[in-house]
Amino acid sequence: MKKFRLLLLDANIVIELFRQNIWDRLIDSCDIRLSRTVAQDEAQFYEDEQGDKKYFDISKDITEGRITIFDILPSELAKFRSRFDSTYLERLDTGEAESLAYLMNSSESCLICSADSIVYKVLGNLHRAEQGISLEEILQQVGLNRQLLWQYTKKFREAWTNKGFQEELGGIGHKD
Amino acid sequence: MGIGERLKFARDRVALTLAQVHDKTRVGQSSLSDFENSRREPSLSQLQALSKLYRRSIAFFLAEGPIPQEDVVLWRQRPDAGTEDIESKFLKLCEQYHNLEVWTGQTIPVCLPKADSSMDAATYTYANAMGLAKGVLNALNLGDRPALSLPSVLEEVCGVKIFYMDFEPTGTAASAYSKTFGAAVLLNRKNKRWRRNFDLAHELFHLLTWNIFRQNVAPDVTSTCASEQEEKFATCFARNLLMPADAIRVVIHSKVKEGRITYGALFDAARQFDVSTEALIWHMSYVGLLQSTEENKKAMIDQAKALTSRMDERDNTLPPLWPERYRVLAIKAFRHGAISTGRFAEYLNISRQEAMSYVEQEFKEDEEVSVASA
Repeated sequence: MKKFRLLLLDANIVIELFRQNIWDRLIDSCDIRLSRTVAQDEAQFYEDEQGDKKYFDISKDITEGRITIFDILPSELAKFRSRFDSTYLERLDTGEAESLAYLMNSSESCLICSADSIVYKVLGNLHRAEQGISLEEILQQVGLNRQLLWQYTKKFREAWTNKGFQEELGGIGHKD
Repeated sequence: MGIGERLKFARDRVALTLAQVHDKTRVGQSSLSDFENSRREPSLSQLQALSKLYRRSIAFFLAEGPIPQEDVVLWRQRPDAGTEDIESKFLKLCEQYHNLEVWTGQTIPVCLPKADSSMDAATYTYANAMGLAKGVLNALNLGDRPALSLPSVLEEVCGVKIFYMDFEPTGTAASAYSKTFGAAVLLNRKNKRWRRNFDLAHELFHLLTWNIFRQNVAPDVTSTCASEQEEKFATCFARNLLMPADAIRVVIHSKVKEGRITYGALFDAARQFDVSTEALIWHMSYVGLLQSTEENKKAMIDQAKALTSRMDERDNTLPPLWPERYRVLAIKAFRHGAISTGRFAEYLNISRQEAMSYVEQEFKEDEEVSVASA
């Protein structure tokens, strides 16, 4: 039984998992879904301490069904976009916009894990705080605890989700 | 206008064939044709690849209604190759700069001194260009050595966006005046600083007189060159702006001995005004400090150029790829959660991991300190 179902990861998280060498262990424990843009364009390599690029390949995980890739159409993204200040689309990574649009359109309850403040701001703005999860929280629950940088922590997620919620109260972002 | 028509429009603007787009994106030619003819929708990842190649935002393809009139890029001389590519890159950078200003709440409205709007291109004169230079000098408080402060005043006070790129020939530059991002100048990164100063002043003339000389640009024109006469006005304006007549007289007279001046002294005067020795010699001739035939003047310039190449000790560091303010705004936007890591990395052309290092610590830039009241 996997710990998390329908866990959407953004590119920064995939990169960090490879950097920490825990990608394989995480995908064994969770039902991971990646947007095609994250899988094909955004998550390609990490840089080691010397700054050298270390490329990784997730194509085998995709073909063997260990992770699932999803696509969305521009018209679905347009629906997501119509709910926000139109500049939000330009502010987000395309893979993040794709994941958020998928989360919004999905009938199942997904979780999204990011290291980007703007993703959590969007969730706060949409009153969907419960659908955000930090890498720190995931690793704790699957028994892979480790020291993480600020942007992977629960505190980071909470701070920015709250900021998004406050902005929505102030009339910023969300249109509905 | 739907996604299909917008894809076709954007491809035409960068002058690429379907085969070339296929080579660069690996999206099949028949799929591209289907997308452009609205027979089916691209996936978002395909649209992302195309938007990168066409240097357009995804939002451009999702927008509804007619495409607003595109911005016009005005060249002194169109580059030898890749003009469409340079233009789209320049306009994209300007748009990004504007986005950063909006997202950080730090927009500087364009506030350039206005040229007399009652004038028209047909009756414009050198006296008008000289008068405009004098007016700009005073309005912008550029002082006796205008080149030293012109770039920062234009950018920080007047809201002009200045970018540097590599293109050939080096003797050209461009400007644009957009309803979206305001006034912008593109300079050649390969030129020496004093040459870039002159180009900046030259392009400033075009921005100031945009309403005079660009009144009759056809709606479908997105790239154009100024007439020879307009270019001469711009050069006259640049000379007078960078070398104010009174200041230049004081400096030249201090170096003249028994009615003669050395090339070394000319070089030194040019250095003070941060212009080329060639520009100084021409200007001295126009303001009556040099009595010489056209032929002698050219010989002098050739000699000055030869000398300059041997004794030029002026600092000539390359300009940064991004204006300093652009970079600062990008960092601010990122730290304040206004843009994503990928977007930040794209705007500064750095890796995602390098981008991440900007949030690895909690910065204290919002902490306040007391200042004395005015």
